[in-house]
Amino acid sequence: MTLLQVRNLHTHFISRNLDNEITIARALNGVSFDVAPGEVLGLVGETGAGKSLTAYSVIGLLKPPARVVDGDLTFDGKDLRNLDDAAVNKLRGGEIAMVVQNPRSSLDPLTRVGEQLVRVHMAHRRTSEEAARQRAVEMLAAVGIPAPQQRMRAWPHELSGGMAQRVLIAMALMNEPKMIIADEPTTGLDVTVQAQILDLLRELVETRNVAAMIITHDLGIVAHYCDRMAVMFAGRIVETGDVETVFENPAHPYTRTLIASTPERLREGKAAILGGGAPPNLFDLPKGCHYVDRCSFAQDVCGEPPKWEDLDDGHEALCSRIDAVRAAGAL
Amino acid sequence: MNEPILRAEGLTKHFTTPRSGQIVRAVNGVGFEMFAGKTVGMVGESGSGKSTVGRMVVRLLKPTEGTVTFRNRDIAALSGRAVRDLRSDLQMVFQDPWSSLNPRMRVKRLIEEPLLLHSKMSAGERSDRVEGIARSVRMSTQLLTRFPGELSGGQLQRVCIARAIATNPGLIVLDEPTSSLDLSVRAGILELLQELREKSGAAMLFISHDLGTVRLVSDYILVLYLGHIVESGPMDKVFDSPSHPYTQTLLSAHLPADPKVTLKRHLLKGEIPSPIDMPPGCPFQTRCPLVREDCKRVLPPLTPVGDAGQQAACIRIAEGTNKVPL
Amino acid sequence: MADLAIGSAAQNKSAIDKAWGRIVGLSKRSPTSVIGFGIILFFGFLALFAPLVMPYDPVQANPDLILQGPSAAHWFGTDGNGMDVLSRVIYGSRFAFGIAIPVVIVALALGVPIGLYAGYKGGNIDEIIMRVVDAFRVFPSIILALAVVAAAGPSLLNVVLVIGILDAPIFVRVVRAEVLALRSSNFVEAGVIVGNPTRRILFVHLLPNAISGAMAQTAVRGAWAVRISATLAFLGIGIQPPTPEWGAMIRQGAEFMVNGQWWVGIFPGVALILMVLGLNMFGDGLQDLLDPKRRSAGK
Repeated sequence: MTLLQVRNLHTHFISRNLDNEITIARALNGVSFDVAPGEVLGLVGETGAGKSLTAYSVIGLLKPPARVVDGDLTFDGKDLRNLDDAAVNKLRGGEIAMVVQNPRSSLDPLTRVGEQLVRVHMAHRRTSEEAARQRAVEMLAAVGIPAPQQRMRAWPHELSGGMAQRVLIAMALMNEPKMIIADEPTTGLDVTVQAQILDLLRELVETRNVAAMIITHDLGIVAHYCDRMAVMFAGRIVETGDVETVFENPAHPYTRTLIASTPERLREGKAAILGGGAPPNLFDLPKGCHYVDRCSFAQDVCGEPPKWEDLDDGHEALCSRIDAVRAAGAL
Repeated sequence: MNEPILRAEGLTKHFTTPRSGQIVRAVNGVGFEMFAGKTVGMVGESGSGKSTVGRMVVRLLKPTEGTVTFRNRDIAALSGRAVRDLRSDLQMVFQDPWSSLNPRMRVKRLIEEPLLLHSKMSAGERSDRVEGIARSVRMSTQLLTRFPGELSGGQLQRVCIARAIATNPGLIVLDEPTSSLDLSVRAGILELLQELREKSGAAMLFISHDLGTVRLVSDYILVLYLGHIVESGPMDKVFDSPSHPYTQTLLSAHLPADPKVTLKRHLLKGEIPSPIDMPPGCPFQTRCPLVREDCKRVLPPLTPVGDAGQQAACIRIAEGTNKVPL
Repeated sequence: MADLAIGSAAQNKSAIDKAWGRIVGLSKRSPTSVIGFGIILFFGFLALFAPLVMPYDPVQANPDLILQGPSAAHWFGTDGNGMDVLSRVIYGSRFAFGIAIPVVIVALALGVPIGLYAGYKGGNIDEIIMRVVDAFRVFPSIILALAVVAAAGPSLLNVVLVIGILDAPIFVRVVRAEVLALRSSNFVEAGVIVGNPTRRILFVHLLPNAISGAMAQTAVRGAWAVRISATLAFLGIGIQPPTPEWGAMIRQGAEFMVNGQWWVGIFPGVALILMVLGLNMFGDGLQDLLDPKRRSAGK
């Protein structure tokens, strides 16, 4: 059973340049994935691949000139694209919660932490302030903040980065969301703190049967905290599957490059499959595979739009040269 | 072993906060040695003082106390002109290549600048040398006429490295050179650094919070916590048998990008405290799972662990009770 | 602009196209700046070709034609010395540019290096420089100018130097603010690391990146210079009659105003207003164009 179903999502930046011509940056070009309750999906890819944009498209937080131009977004049976603003607002922060990077700048600096939690709750539920306050203390305790009663009265600037991120997670939990989207939740935090935050997130998914999506560029996080992963490149998901399967047997040439570039693989002494290079121009994407310019397997067939290849049990890759990649052997 | 190219002793840096006048004890008595052709990895969380140490080594910052002996000369006390002359021999690469290059200068002029400042080469000689350097950092010479704004992150970092190696320095400090780069680009830069170190024989100080990367490139490692070295030693020794409780927890929090590695977790509570009000005794006492009363009295000195050059600063090591339980 | 010169022909063309596109875009967004530019061009033309466009010699006294009203022969009438007001107004535009341009150059030459140095060094040096600058700013500049010009003598050179020095603090502030913002990017530190002396850091690395704000201010500051110099002349301290400077002419004209001989003072007054307005309107557009923050806000 899936909770969030994204099908063929296209998000473009449509604007006019100084010469008054319409320009279109095709940032997302047919993104499809599912997230089920109790499962963590890791969305990985390089800067500009469209990871965060996917999340913002889902929860309806796109700012012009970005616009969802095509695709279906279904959450819990509801068609997200046809909901009115009020309904989307109700969903966001209610059933779908978002945890962003830079936790400190995401908190209102002039309002005490507890007050912010209470407000989020009361914006979505008809409840007494007393009950909301009660729940806020419970949630602060649930995310492992010591002395939650006192912390309610803390100002955001008094919190360390890790504490602020915990408060944001507590805020995300205030309305018992069915899904949490975490956009680079630990970027900028130290490793020891990162471990605490991710443990907490994982535990919440398991104990509360929440669906989660972690957006990250850190394959270490994906390897240890996600069940499934989706690899994005230039606005498309190019490979998806169970984390262990993908790491063991990456099928798309881009995924292979990514995994071969991890320090762990490099340390095994194998030469990296160097995949550096400029990301494709979103204003002028190639007609076929977007990775074609950087791909060592590329041939004429890659000029045609690639098709999804079913590899095994839920492991799929968007590549026309899958046979050649397979023939090249495992990493 | 042969003579070190750089020896830091008792390196200390205290800052005064502008408003309240409190003293921030960023670095407290750090000492280490660096050898030609070897890479020292320096790890620690934010606030551990690792960038400050790097900046003192290249004399971007003047140490409050301590000495930095570079090629048998104390450079900690030098100033002005004398420091500037050192620059051809002491270089640094910064974390963020986007902001490390003057946006109004073409790549060619950027790489040429150190030659212009430190050598008596003619314009033609410089031009040839710039092309040579560009090739040695595996950068297309077509990029030389571009401005930094037209280059990708990986290309920019190659330009920064090209600038750093232009004058064949004996020592290069790399302050998180790959942290802001995408993974696939990162690998290329690491390979390049490895290659340059072998070719040039420069000593490198590699500062990073990413343990995987440090492990990949370093021969020797320094673990910093609150401005103190809490553990040091040959890379494999420290990674295979970390002895300071902090090193143990730090390594256990690292997430290798391989789902088959099972994590052995020592959960560490809380975060690195402020370097303003530091209690006497061990800097790690507020978070250490093994803390006891005498940890709060004296600062434990770095003492040898085994005979392979590993050292750690923990009073429990002598008793063998320093292992953090899982 | 130096970039243009080095670039290949193909790049040149696209850069010019781009610049033209910007100008077209600017004229759509800010038509006032284009009008302002037109006014400046108009006065610039008058100043350049004054000898050709002037109907009479501007300082030729003619006792027979004293204080005649506007007529076909003398469109703007004649003044108390019988000089042709139109010719004097036209010639006066030379003084307007002759003051505005050198004043801005003096102010830039002083203010930019000080601003660079203060922003780069920071700390006590910055503190001291900025206090001095503030002291300059709070003291009414017109009084200071009056005192200094009165003491040093009312030559054009003195007027230019004094107004230029008084205007430098503006540029100190603007440049310093940009340098402070640039200090957080690493390229300055990276410049130190490769061994740049402070002089090179300031003028090779910081200056090109910190100058756009100051350049954007030039037209507005030029307007200010024209206004102040006219004020000085009006008060009888600056350039002296019968030199055909607008402020001096307005001062002369004021005496005749009460007798109904309005043309002596009104025409140079209108010219002054137009010139200052034109510079200010253009200056506003210039700030839009050169200051990226204002550019995005303008959209």
